[in-house]
Amino acid sequence: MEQLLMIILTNHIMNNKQFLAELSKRCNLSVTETEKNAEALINVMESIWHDGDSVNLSGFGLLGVRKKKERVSVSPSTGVKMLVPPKLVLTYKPSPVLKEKVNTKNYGEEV
Amino acid sequence: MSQLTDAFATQTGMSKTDSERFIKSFFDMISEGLMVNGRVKIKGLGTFRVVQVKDRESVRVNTGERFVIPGYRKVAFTPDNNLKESINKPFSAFETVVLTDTQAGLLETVDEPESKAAKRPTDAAKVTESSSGQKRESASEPVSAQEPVTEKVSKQESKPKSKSKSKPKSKSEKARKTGEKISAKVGEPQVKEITRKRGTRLILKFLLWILAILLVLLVLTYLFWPLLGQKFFKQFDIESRRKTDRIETVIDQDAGDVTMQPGAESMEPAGVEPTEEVVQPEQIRSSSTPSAVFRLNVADQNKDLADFTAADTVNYRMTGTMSTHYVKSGETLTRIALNYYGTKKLWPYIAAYNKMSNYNALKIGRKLLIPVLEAK
Repeated sequence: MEQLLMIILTNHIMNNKQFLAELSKRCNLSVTETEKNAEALINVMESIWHDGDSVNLSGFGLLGVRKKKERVSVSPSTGVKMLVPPKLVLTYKPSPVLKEKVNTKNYGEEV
Repeated sequence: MSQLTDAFATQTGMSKTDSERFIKSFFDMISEGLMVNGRVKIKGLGTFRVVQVKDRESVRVNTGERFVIPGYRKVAFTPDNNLKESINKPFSAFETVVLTDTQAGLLETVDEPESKAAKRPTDAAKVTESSSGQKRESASEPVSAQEPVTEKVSKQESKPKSKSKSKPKSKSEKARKTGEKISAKVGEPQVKEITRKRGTRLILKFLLWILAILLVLLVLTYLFWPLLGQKFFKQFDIESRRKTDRIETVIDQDAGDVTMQPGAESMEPAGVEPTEEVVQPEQIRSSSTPSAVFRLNVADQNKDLADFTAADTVNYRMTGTMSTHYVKSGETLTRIALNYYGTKKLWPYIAAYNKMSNYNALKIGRKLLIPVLEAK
């Protein structure tokens, strides 16, 4: 039951449109402007990640690039061994503030 | 943070305070959206979502007592596909390669020193206690003393055959395997936890979908039931009838043979239908000869073809009326067909000739025209 409820709860998606609309309200900007700004922000962050640095946002978390080593994986059904190449992956580590917020009781109730 | 705001300000031409405010509200918005909706999707960046982690049991490493780690919620992030690719650009040239056995073996041998060095100490610590006694027995072999492996291996070593040179390799392999097992055991619970959760969620979603589809199907069938039902049941009726008829004709063949005895033919229809004569004696008499002739044909066929299939019933043409028949109580179309043609199989011709819509509702006293059948 709890699982089902969680699915219903977590399946509420705030999509890009809603997000931009809310953000534009908060910043007193038009939606198109906020969209432009958001794009620019993401581009800037991307360039930072390309340099290998991570972006630390106080109160939100750390978005950074990690290198994953190559590894040999065996498919459990066929037993075929595969060499998976090394990867650069974008990772997110939530800040303790956000973690606490998410774990407070009134989560999902303040609509 | 400051690096980001600087770069952002230069890119957009906004003032520093403005850009800082924008960035702050951008990420505040995300966390707020997470609080309310549980999932925030941002184009070009990815999806942030809140994931429920269930309670789980664990064991204290020192004391071995069980305790429950309470469930919690965590924030997870999956980057956008485009972003993923662009970040992985330096390594994008690599692809997953399927390894052949020899290649895999080579790789393992290369990996061995590292993995062994890392895994063997734990191995050794666990095994030394259990197999120390046996080791003393086989202490004469220096190899086994240096490499404390599992009990099995040390047992094998104590056997004289294991002194061959090939042994060290297999031993090292076993050591690696056990090491892997142990490390796998350590790593497994977490991985399993995650995959299981994903699995159950997927399964639940799947079940929900199936339920929805079933419901829709039910509603549809309910709505179109009258149409479906008529068609289906009509077909079903005919088919089931044919089946039963086929079975009966087999039985009838014997009876038919008996009636085929010379002289009995012309008497037959009258004998089977004594009341028929009362109703329409003249017509029966007039019809008795052609039906008898026909019966001969059918009977001949039956003699030749023991398996008189349903396809044979299509091979006739209706050429005019043989006689009229008034339905009496207890009679069915098949019975009538049997009387006139000598086989129950040909009842559909009677039905078709009379343009009957419902084969089951044969009313007593109904007038049926019996067609003359000619082989095509």
